[in-house]
Amino acid sequence: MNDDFDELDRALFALPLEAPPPGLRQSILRATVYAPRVAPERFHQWESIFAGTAAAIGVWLIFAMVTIHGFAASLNTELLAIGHVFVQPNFLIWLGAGGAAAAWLTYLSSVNLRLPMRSARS
Amino acid sequence: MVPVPEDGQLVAAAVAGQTEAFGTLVERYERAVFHLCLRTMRSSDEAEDCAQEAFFKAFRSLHTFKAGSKFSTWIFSIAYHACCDRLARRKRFGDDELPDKADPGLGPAQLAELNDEARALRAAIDALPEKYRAVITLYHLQGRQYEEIAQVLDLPMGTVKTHLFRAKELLRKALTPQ
Repeated sequence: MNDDFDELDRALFALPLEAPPPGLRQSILRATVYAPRVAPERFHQWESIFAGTAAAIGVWLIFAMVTIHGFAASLNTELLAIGHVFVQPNFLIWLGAGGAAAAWLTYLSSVNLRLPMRSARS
Repeated sequence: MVPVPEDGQLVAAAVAGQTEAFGTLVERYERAVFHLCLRTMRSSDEAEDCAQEAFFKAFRSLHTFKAGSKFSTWIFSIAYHACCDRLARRKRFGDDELPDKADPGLGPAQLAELNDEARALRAAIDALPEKYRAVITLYHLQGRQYEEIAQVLDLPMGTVKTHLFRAKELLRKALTPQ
């Protein structure tokens, strides 16, 4: 392969680069260096949704307490009933059993994932 | 005398938040990038779009630039791939050349009419098939740094040398008065 520096190389290296259009640099800089920076998000989207939902429920509760006759008393009764369920021994036993089963299954899956590739293939 | 910052230092400064440093890089490489895009696309408007896209992409991914590598190779690679994407889109919509298809180009008579050597050479480069055009343009921009040309084009170095050899053969043929 003839790779010597010859007349063609000389002409190539002497070839002036074409001038870019006059506005190119400005448009590049406008799109990059001088582009308005987007403020970083302060909250994740799920956090905003959660906060919005909580605020909406809060407003609804206050509105209901003020406008519906006896709502506060019935809400109190309902909350007490729900709270009562959480301290029932049966509920706590089932909750413990469910949690233990979930923990056990999680442990088993992680052990399987850690198996070396060779034994997984065989 | 004020020391001229190297490309790597400018990239580091831009990543650190001094975005004006990127402006200096634009100033340094705007012409070369535009030239590469123009030779690849053969349309000033599209070359402008590609050059703009290349700098925009580079700015967005400055943090991925590997310290120690050459900025010129990196920006040329981004620009070349932006051009390739555009050429592929053109190809998909069937309104322009296939990248590897040889162009009819200018005949020796037409080339002879172009008195100016630079204009004749540019016309001859534009008449080359796309793959040779890119190699010869990068050879023009980067000199004999075959490894960097290979990196930009994503080609083995042997292929780059072969393409360059064939491109030069075609250019010699086109520029020789008959």
